[in-house]
Amino acid sequence: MKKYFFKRLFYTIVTLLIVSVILFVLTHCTGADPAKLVLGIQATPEAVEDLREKMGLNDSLIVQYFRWLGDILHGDLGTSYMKNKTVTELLGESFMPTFNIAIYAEIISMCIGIPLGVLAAKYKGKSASVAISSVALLGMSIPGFLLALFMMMAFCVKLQWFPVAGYTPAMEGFLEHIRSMTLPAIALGFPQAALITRTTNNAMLEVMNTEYIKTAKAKGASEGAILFKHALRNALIPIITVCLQSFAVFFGGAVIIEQIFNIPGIGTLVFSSISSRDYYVIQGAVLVIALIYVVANILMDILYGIVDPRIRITGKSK
Amino acid sequence: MKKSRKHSDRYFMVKSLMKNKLLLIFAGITLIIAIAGILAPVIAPCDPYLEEPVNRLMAPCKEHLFGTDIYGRDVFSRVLYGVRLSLLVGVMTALISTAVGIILGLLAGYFRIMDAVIMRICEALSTIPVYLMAITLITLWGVSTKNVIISMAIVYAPLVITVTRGVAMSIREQTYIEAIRAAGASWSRIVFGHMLPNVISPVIVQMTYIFASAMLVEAALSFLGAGIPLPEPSLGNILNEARNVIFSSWWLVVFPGLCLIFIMLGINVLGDAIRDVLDPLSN
Repeated sequence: MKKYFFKRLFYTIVTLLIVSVILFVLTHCTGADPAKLVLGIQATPEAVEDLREKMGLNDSLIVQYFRWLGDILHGDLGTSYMKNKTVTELLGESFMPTFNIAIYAEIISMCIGIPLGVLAAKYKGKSASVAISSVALLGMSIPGFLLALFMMMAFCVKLQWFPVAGYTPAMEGFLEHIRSMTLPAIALGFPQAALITRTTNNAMLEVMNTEYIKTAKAKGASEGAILFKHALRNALIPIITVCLQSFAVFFGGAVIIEQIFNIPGIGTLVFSSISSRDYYVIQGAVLVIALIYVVANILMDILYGIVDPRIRITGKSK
Repeated sequence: MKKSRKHSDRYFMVKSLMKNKLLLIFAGITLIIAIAGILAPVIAPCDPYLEEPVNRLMAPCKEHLFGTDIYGRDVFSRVLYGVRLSLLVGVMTALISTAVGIILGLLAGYFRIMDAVIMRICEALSTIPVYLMAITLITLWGVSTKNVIISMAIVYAPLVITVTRGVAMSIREQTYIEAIRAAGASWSRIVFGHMLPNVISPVIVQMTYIFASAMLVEAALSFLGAGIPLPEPSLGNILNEARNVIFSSWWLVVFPGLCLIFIMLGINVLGDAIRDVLDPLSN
């Protein structure tokens, strides 16, 4: 297990290094000159040249890359060209809104998805199961941004249950905080809830066919005990996978949902810095999101070990 | 002999697909929308670019089935052209990413050295969320339909590569490959003659997925203004233009939105049905 873990860690670092190269190449091979973007169109060529020298843009790309990488290893992600702040500061400001909404969306999608998936498996072939899988299918077919628009039309103007846009930090009133995050969290969480429902349902159906469930039934275990104690616990691996993956999906989908609801999170930060070619911010933010994805994957492996002792002992499933 | 068995397999598959009523209904709706989109230049009642400021933001009526937008353009015509463009983006993305993915996947599956390089790059690409990657590529290269398709093909190619490589690797280990290699078969014959045919059917399942999600991502990107550039209509940028007036003009959101949902429903139902038929155990 230890050996496996270190191997895994090594590959993770290699992956992140490749991500950093991809990001660096992508942002630097665009032809746009950040010095010109900072100074505006009317800047004199001398001023541009001066700033280029100061920003280190005249060095070769390889030198620039390794300087950037070296800075990252020292915890310095660079400074934004446009906003006059370090990338770490910018990320620090925008991380919490995105993170809170992602947690909220995760809670919503798990609270809807897992029980519905279990119910659909319990009432297999009956109308309840058909209804649940139809809703899940619909949920998977509605894009999050469309759901956001529909919800805005329904809840924000006529009913005025939720604010149309904006984000209230937790400091300024917890209830307002929750209210401002509800619609974005639903828009992010609902499609994932549908996915979790289906995954749970499939995993449960597979487990319900096994011999030990038949044994449990035969010995007269109650239905609740069979469903939750025997079946759900053994169906947990794919459910954990889809739940943790959805957390990474929330960070990716934040770009769109945050734009709609005008939330000052990582998505908005990335979007605005892409349009202003703010290299260091794009690189830093995307790297952080990639890191979250990678950490979610490692967490997944650890949880597998906790859930399934076979993995803990042998290092692999079944 | 072999051919007739294959034929009956396919017949069986189509027959069991036809039994699925849900599939027939939704596939039917999707097909109608798709055909309407493809035939947009023929059936669209108005020019989708024609601005009639007098008629701006008209509610749905006889002349304008889906109403008009903020510039007085006919929404029905724009939605038809939008569907056409979405389908084009979906199909092209699926085709390009599949072609690139199959070639790279086969190479990774056959040559051990390339495997390490290609798979590490794929892994790295898969840690960057789809939307972010696509937005970054498109904004940096400039917004145009061509760039939207190319960037999404890059985003989705790793999926095909992974699937292809998996199949190719399992085939490489089989005894008959060893045998024909001993008999002097070249690598190209093993790769294209034996691995490629086996890769096709799992890749087709991936293609439907890529087709659907490419359409979805395109809509989301155009909605953000980072996809298909205006004034060319796409389902996403019609919704984008509607953003400022959604509270007064519901038709600008509801009709293109419903179109998108129905297309997605049709593709998802079809995908489920195909998976059920290919893998009866999962049912």
